[in-house]
Amino acid sequence: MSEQSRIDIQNVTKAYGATRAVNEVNLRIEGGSYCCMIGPSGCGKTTLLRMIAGHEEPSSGKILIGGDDVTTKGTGSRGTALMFQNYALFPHLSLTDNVAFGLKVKGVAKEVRREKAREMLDRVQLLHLADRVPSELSGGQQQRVALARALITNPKVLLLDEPLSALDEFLRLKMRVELKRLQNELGITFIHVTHTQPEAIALADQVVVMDHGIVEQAASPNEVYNRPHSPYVARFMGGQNVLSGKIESLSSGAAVVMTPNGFRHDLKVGLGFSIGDLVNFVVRRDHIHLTDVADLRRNCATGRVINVEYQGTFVKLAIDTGSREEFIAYINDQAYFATPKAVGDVVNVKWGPALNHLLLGTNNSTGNPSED
Amino acid sequence: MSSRSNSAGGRFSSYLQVAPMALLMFTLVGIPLVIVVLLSFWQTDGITIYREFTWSNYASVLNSPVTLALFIKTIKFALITLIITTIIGFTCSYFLVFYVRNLKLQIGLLLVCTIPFWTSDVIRMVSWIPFLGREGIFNSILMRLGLISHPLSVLLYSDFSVVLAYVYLFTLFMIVPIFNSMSKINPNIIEAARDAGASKWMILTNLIVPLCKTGIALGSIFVVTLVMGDFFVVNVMSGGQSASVVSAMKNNIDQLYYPQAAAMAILLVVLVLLLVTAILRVVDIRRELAR
Amino acid sequence: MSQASRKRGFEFYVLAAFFSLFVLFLYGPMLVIFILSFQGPTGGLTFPMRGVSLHWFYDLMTSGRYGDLGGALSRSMILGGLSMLITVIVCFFAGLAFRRRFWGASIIFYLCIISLVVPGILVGLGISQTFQILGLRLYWWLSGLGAHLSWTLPFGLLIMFAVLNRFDSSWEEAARDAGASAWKTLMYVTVPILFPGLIAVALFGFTLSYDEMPRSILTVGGSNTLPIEISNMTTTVTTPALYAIGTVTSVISLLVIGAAFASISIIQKRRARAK
Repeated sequence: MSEQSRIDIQNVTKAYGATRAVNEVNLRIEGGSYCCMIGPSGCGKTTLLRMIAGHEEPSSGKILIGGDDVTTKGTGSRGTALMFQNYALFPHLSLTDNVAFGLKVKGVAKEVRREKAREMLDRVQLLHLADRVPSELSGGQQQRVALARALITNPKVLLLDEPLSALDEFLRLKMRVELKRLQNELGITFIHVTHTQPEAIALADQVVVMDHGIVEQAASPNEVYNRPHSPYVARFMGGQNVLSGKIESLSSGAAVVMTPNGFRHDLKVGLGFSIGDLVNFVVRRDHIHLTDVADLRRNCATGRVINVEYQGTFVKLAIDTGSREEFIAYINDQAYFATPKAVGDVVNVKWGPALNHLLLGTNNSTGNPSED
Repeated sequence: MSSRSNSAGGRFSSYLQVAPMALLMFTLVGIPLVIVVLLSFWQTDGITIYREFTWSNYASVLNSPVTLALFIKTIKFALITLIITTIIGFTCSYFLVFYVRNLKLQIGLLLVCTIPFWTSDVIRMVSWIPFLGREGIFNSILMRLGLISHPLSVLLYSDFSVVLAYVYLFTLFMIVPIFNSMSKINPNIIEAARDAGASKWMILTNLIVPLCKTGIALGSIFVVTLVMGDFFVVNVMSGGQSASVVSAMKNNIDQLYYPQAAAMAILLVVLVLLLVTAILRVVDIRRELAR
Repeated sequence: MSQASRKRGFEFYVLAAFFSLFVLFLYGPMLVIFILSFQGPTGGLTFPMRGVSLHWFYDLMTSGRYGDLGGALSRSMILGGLSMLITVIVCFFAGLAFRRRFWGASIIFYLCIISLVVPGILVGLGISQTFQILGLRLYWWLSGLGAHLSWTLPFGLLIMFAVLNRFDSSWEEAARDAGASAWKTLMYVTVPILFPGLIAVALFGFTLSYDEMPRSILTVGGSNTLPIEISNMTTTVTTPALYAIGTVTSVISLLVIGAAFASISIIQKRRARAK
């Protein structure tokens, strides 16, 4: 199964006039994996998904599914099924006929396809509503029907275009679990387009972060979150502070970097750097501690508190360290409430040198630093 | 997003899909109107038409003292009808949108106003005859009430009956577009205005009327073009005493003076297009409809 | 307006009265000629009724005074049917095409608008003169049908725009995604979903053609349609037979309207409720 449902995207470009929605993308999605494509709106993730589904044709490049070149093959005959963002359930058909639609167009006899559709509806726990029409269903139910309709033809690859965006918070979390469970059960490839970071991290085996039609980073969630490729990825995925500075000293790949506000940081840079180079790096927002002035030597920062947000298990402090971006620290709530801070207080923070991670990529756009 | 899909194949199928429409519109509207324009420059002796260029059709139309009077009369009919239909159309829409609570009832009542659209204009106009004649229903009611001692003859076969028939026939063309733009007004805007202390009258004049501009403009285009294109109502309802540009043109056609009729028609069309452009200057209907 | 819904004030009653008067104004005269068409044989064009009879309907059918009304009626019905059929098919596909941008779209759009704005008799003149120049004879089923289409097609296209406004093209994509060919997508998804809208287009196609008069006068050749016959009768006939023909043609129109509305509401009810 996994070989058959592997997807290879080779040098794929989609141009609309002068603008390139997808720009020379190379990507392999392993068969049977759960892949999340993430990025701000207009980054090309939906266009890429629609090219895999066959609703758009690449301007150049190739798309292979299970090793077969399907670049110009029509949609519906390449083993993919797309679940639409607004579900696109047929308003004139009952749930049974909606789900059976893929079999109907393949010429499956009425009784056979209805039986199969009912089995599939049972699987998504909607058999009791089989004779209803879509307008009578709630959003969550409609989504499950759309899922059943997409799965009825036994696709090798299920493509999901922002499947959870129309649901409320509670349903979103519930459906997230169901999607993951379903993917485990079926063992087919899921490609899920989203713009919410927790969704991608929670679901994916592979996260593909896109921006301006380019894949910025494609890796495991752990890798993307802890070892982002560029300032953009770090900011978009969240949980990190992006800092930059000049290499002050260097010995066998270990550098000391001086930030413009006068603090030094230990950073592993590897080969190919020299003293005076400007580098970007990140520091995870958790694992940061409040400290006294005396302790300030390396891997630390100081500044005025500009915002305090209590988050339940931790406190989010926004600190103005004199750089353009505010420095965010997630402080353990017990530690914080031992010495609470007020807006305007000057605080010092420090962290372990291992938390500093060098950013190799240069994409420095702010992306969408939302944290929802 | 889907609108941009399958660009090359999509464009081809677009052309295939629109081809019958394009073909029919070109042969039934495009070419015939070009012929009319040509016709207005051709010569005639009242029997045969010679395809030779002349300005004389326009010259005779423009030099005739009747022409100016006809145009003024036509514009007068159009303006009076426009004012009355706008007032009725706005008031009825205002009632339907803001005073009818039940949405189904609202749509139902609008439908009641529009059903006559699908029936015959000729018959609807004829249906005024038993009301307006010297022995008609109005005169007998007024006499029985003692308001008049002799039957009024001004009711039928007069400018009054012409305008009455226009209002009767064309008001629904005003109600539907005004209703349409009025029902799109977000109720929160009105709540906000009331919160800010605006009176009902201020809400009406400062909010609702400006927000219905598109509907009023669209309805005005319908009413103006319908009145200015009419020859039948003015002929029958005025008893042949009044005339409009098109009814005069119809007389020319009946006497086989096609080129003069064409020249007159072209002048009228130019006037209508000027009026429509003027209305479009005030309101950008295409942009408003796209909202 | 929520304030109005809390308490019905003075304005409500004023506006309701105004609206009721307007509806009375709209339907009263038609109701009157409907009643007067059942006038007794000695009755005149206005009240009082001198008995109730079907005399004038009978007179319409049997008397030779009114010309070929039966022929005119059947021609109008045939023209209405043909216009309806052509309008629905042509406007349906044209509407689908207009969802994409293509060269010439605005030319066709403006031709439609022009056809609606220009006096109808002028379009009739143009069509008849075009036939003249081409050396063709005028026939009601050819030049007459063409004149009717110049009126019904633009309306049909505008209605299709409104209908397609609420059509989500991802339905078609979903069908293609499930493996449906272009033809199957059309037959299983696009047409069934748009069906109520197509009935509306059909209603316009039939009634606009059936009642069309100004464009027909110069284009039907020797054989008149019903509206032309009736408009001739308005100046020559001074008996309630005029009302009788009015009742006949209005009843036909109302039956068509009723059938269209009924089928639309049946389809929509079926869609909104469990089968």
